[in-house]
Amino acid sequence: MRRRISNYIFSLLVFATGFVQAQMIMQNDSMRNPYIPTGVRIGVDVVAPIVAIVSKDFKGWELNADTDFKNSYLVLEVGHWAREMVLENGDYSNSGNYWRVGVDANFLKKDPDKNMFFFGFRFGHSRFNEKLDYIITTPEFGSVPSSLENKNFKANWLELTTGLKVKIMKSFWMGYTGRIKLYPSFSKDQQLQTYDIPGYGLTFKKPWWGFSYYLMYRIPLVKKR
Amino acid sequence: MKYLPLIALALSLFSCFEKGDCTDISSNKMKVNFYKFSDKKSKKILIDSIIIEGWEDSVMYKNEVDSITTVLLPLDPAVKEMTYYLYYQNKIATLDIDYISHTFPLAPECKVIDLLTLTDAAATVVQELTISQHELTSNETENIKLYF
Repeated sequence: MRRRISNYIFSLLVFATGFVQAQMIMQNDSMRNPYIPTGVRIGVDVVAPIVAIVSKDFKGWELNADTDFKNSYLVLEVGHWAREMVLENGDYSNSGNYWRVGVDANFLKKDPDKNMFFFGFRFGHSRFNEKLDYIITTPEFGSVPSSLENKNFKANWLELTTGLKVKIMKSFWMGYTGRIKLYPSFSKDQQLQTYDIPGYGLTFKKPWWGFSYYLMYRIPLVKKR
Repeated sequence: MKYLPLIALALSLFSCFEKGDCTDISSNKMKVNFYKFSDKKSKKILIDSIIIEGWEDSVMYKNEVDSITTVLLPLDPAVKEMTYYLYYQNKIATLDIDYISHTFPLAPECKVIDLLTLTDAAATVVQELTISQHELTSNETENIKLYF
């Protein structure tokens, strides 16, 4: 038992030493090189839960992270999206996960608080299942109930983004990202034509647009000079 | 400027409930026009009846009085191929049609439609058959030319 605790403490010491050394290296590097990241902001989107409460047929969440390379920020967004729709002659549902990766260029160049007014782009990817239960009625052949499903489906798209991020208190930022979603790409060979892509939206809306409002917390990688 | 996020949020929520266009452009009727093989001009044919294989009890077309130049043949959205028998002037022509469906909801709260597309067609007895438009739509454009 004692040996196990000492091993644990030893591991922690090794980890802590490594972390401090890494931080010192990054700090020294960042003094020399502005392209070394100084921190990571991690955020949560508050729009998706509001839409889920208001519309009731939508469930979803989205997380966001960015890190700085001088005046540009590498951005990663991950989320989940599930939707149910009642149609005139059927029911449609989908559920899936998505991610977007891209870069935001900050136009507030010398802001020490890392506030942002930015323009950027994203590449989006979604993997999802969708299902359609419906009845087709023709005068000659009557009513025919059918059920169609696309499993483990994939889609990609591009986005142009703009927005603001403002420091509201120590380590906390809030701000929005508006996005124009372009060029959704997905297979069209199957009978059930993809209707709604998690992360993108309705496929017949080209371009489509979206909006996220993030609350973000910043984890510094380098101590402030 | 400070209200910009709220305006964008309101627009975003509004767009979630935006209804699309519910106009149904689909059809399960295939328009077949008749032509003379020699000069490719429109030809009138006196059709006795048209029967769908598997649906022999219900004659889909019956006209023993007037000659016609066009006929609308229904496709069953539940299957992928159909055979029609055209009885005319003491002859029986067979028309085999293969097709696929693309199924999708038109917009939120709208209809689900089957958009039918002809993939292959063949006929016996008649001189020639060509597909002029593969997709079946509600505007009733010509899908098949039959040359007699």
